[in-house]
Amino acid sequence: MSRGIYSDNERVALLWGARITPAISTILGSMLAWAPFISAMPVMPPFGLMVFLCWRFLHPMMWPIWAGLPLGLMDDLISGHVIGSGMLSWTLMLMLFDWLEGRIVWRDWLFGLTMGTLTVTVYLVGSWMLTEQRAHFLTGLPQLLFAVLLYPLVMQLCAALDNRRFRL
Amino acid sequence: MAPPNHRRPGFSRRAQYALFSGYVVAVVGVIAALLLIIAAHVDPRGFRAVQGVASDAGSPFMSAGRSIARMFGATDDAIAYYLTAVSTNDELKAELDRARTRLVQARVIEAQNRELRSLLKLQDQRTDVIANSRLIGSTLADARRIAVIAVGADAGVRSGFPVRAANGLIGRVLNTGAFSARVLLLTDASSVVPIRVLRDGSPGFVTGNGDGTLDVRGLSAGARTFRRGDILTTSGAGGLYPPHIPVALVISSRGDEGTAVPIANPAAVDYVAVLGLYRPDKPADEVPPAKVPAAP
Repeated sequence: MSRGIYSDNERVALLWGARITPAISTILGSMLAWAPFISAMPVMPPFGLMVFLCWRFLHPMMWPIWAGLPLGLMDDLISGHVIGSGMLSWTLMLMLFDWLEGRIVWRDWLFGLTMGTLTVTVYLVGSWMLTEQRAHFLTGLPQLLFAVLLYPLVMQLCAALDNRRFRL
Repeated sequence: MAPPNHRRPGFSRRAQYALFSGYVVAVVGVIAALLLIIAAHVDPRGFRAVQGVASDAGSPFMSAGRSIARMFGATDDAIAYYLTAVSTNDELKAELDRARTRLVQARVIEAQNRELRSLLKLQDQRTDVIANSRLIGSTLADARRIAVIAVGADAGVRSGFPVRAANGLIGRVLNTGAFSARVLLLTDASSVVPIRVLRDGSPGFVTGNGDGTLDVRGLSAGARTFRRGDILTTSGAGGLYPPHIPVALVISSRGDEGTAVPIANPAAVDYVAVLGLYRPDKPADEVPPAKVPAAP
């Protein structure tokens, strides 16, 4: 196959490795919840969601609008959330971002960074509220802090993967 | 850069239809997900089979990683032990002397107890150990406190069964796979355990706070039921947990309620035993007033 006559988007469509890399990396992110540690508090950031969001902000068109359904379901199953909660929230996030991007005039890396961080924060605080844990939210703060600090790193990783996935 | 409007595909009918059907799928999926959440809230038993398969899928990763984690933990401790060997040795010797005396006393009391019990013709309700297993992991990203053990339905483990470590209660089985099971820890907010104060036998119950501590409430209103340092054991009320398993240590008290910490720390415990139901005539799933919380 001669590469010269294809545009980037067409090449993505033609190469399986490039097409499934984002989904695989998201599932791998979810699978980090299987790390063999036992803790009294939630400490692990929601890596699956973070990878999912980073891909979304790297390529706004890449995920089909329903991509949150299968990937959210995988995340629910792997990390033991109530089934359906990830499907619901991830899909709603995609819809919300599409709507938001139509409203704002300028989109750059800062939009991805702030929106991603905000989304992860709302997601963690929301799940803390919904599970009705009686302890103060401050006990969930380490997890939130890890998530917010690691988010730019996950973004870098996704960008690196993005550069490499055409050769997979 | 101003965002190009990617979602508007131009004049291609095919692209427009593809986009439209994508939205239809997404909206239908969102509604289905909402129904799934509601179903899980109304009937927590519904998806146990699916969740069991998921926990089976994760268990090989967890148990492999756990042995590595333990190896590192062990070397870490071993170095510290070399540094404190002499002082620890002295302390342990002194403690051994004290413990020997107490042991003799305990043996005497045990014999006496057996005699009195046979005099009273007390019927002991035995609880069998269904299976022994290692704790291989816990939900790290989830706000609920759930651990995973390496035995499941194949070994006879059913949901609702109590799980204990050598030194105290860990929790109860939430759902089972074929060779792994998820255990709701004491520290989760939806875990409720009927207890009794070891000192005077006054009843109460503990619920989790979600941050590693437990909330204790007495059943006799107004009285100062708990004192700092009280040991709480299961009372056997409700028929789920067998009596006399150590549960928690009270660390502070206000009136008829207090705060306690679990005696068995899931992070430090390696092996746990899954027990049968104390009174199997009560169906396991109806005993505790537990609710499964929804997490997004």
